[in-house]
Amino acid sequence: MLVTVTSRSRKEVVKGGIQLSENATVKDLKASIHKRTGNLYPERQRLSLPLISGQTPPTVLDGDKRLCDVFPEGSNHIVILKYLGPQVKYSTLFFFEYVGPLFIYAMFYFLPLYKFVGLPEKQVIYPVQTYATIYWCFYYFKRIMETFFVHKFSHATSPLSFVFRNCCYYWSFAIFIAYFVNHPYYTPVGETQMYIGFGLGIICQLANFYCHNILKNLRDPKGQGGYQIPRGFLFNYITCANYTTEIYQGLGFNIATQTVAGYSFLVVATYIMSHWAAFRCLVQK
Amino acid sequence: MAGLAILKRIYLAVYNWVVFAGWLQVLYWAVQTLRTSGYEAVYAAVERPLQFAQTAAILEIFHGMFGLVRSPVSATLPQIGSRIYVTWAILWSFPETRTSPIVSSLVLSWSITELIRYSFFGMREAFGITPSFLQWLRYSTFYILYPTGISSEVGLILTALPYVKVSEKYCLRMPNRLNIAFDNYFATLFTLASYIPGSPYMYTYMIGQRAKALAKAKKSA
Repeated sequence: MLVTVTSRSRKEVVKGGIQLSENATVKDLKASIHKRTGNLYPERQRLSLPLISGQTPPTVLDGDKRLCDVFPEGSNHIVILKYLGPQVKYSTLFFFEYVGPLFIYAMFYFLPLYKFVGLPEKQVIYPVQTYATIYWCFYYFKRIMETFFVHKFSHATSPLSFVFRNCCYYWSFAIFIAYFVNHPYYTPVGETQMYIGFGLGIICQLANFYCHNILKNLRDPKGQGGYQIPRGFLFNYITCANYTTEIYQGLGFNIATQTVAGYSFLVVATYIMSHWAAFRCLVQK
Repeated sequence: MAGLAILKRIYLAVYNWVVFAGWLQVLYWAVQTLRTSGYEAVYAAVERPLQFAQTAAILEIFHGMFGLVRSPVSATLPQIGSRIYVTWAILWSFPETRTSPIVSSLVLSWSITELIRYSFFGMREAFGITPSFLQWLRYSTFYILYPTGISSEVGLILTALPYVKVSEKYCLRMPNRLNIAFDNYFATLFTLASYIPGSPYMYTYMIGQRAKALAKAKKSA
């Protein structure tokens, strides 16, 4: 079959179209487009069908679908190509997001940085500050390990610009929180409160790890993708239990360390995760 | 709902003309004072109408958020943010800045710009007419008034800096139970720095708006 590839302004991207076998998939089409154009890597292509009047989100073409299944009966075989720009793997994105806070926090604990803002160096280091450093650094270490050994990602890539944007978010909050918890004038909470906080945090991190494993086992080993509803453990009661445990472990950290900085990060993160969870609930329904 | 549309129009018409009246007072008293007493007295003469008109503009953020007007929040927020900051966190908070000649350039730039803007929108909402002369003014005077206004804002913040540092006003120091601190001097420096990307952004936004408005006027002509 002959497939015509145009841009969103209906200019032909590949002159004369692309000739493909009847059984060809969208993936084959993307590979052919790449071969013909040279610079349009498959990951940077978003292919969709021409909009029917009144339709708002375009029908994006999924990689493994066969082309003959995708085109409506008797249509000219036209696909619209959107250039997505440079992409990175999700694992790359996550790695940079998490490695920053890991080192930044440790720097504020170990290095004499406060003299640069005219403050005296710490006279005493409270136990809670030491435990907080261990907790925080372990937390981001866990996240990095999960990125490479646990998580199975749905879409192959995400835009390069997300690296800059997301790192700003994670790294700025890391600086903000690390600065205040390790501050020479930091005021610790009572011992009981500290233990309750870290206790809650550790329990939730373990629960969170278990949730991630349940989610990992949901994905078809052949990488079919798509959303499925997780079952078992907390998922029987809560839709996105992995986010819930994430939020409560953050709460634990804040109960133990008690800073405005830490709580503000918790509020923002909760807000963001609520949006993701709402989207997922919608998809699962 | 036709009723809602009329209500919105009445509200916007009233809003624009009321704030216009505020800025008219600002301009009037500024010019009068400059002619009779000199620049040191300008702030004292315009303080109340200035605070009223400038603070009322906060409503415009909600107008954008709730779709009453088309302006994106990304353009209104920095503009109103910087205006409110200079009006309250600098001029009102640090009286030492009030006698500066920069207050005059600030107040004149702001009031002339806002008179054009509010009358333009007021005409449109109340009478349904957009006089081409007003439209030309609105999309041309910013070429001069944005630089003069922005430089005045920056100038006043710079004037206030030593007083910010010495007075410790609005500073929150540690130790405290919430383990939070706020250093006004540092925050003021940060605000000044934000003018570096912020000013070209606002200026080029207006240039873009001008192109759009002139293209639309040409098409309907």
